[in-house]
Amino acid sequence: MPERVPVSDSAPSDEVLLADARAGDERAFAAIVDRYEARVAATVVSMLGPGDEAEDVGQETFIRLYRYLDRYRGDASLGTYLTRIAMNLSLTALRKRKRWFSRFVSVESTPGGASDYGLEPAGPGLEMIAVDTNEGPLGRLEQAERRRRVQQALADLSPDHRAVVVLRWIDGFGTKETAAALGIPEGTVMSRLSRAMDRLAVTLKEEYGSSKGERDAG
Amino acid sequence: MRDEERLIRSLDGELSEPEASALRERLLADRELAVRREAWVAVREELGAGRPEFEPGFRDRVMARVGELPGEDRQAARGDQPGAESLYLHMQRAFPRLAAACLIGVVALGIYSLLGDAGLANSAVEALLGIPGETLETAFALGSV
Repeated sequence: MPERVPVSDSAPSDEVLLADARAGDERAFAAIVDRYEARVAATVVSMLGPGDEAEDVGQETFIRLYRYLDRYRGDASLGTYLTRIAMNLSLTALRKRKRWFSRFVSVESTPGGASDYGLEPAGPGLEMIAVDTNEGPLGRLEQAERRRRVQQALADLSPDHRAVVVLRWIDGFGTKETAAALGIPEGTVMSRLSRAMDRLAVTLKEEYGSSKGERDAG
Repeated sequence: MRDEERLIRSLDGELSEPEASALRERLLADRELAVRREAWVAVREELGAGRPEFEPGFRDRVMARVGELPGEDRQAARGDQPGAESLYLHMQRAFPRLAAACLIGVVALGIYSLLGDAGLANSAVEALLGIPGETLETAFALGSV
């Protein structure tokens, strides 16, 4: 579902903020970061999992925008432009991670070695900070737990399949937009998405099963 | 349209009424497909549950990094094009002028050589390029004098 960035009538438009930022007004750039932080977080955390790497890639996304402010021509909306930068940087980070992983860690020695998140520390490191849509601490905990399960399930997908799921159903891109962002045909987007959905359905079912088992045992 | 594509488009709410009706019929006839769709709906719902955020203070951390950027990067953001990129752009702009000046120079030199004293004695190409009429043999003879 596309995330619409709420901009009130009195808030300056992206174009105004960009023009001010180009003129050297850092407060205008800070306002852009505020406006698109959640959208960039959704992309990079869904791709990389929570942690320092996602934070670095998130920061780098905005730094790239800042460095090349004059190159942004407005062909795509600023949100789409930032999502594409965030996705490209995330895929690059995953490739680097894979290289590191294959150099230093044997796949057989690691449970869930096929998962790119195999490098992430288990336990508290995987805690999510979720948007508070439910009132109260219990609601927040439940939300965080749901998000953690989704994150684990996403981590089980290959980067190519994960990128399609994230762009299509977390960032709200259409099939055509997703194909353009990843440089693949629309048919490939469809086939990757359907395979990913089948895989996610199985993984999430297992996750829910194990969570329920833990609760019952507790 | 394949079943998968139809399912995805139905999740997006993009099916037309006839397409949606055809899908309903397919789901009634194919229990496996109906279970699959149900699972996809649940997955889609989970994906939308709770969006991740960065740790609080993300904006300040980004702005601190912006503050640490070298001056040329900050000028580039304003379209001032400093540094290596600026040099490249200046060279790009200067090259056609330089090429035109060189061409004019070569033509002028050619005309001068062609019209000069040596030009009349030499072949047109030699004269055009300003090459002296001496052969290796005459050069050797001149050297031994």
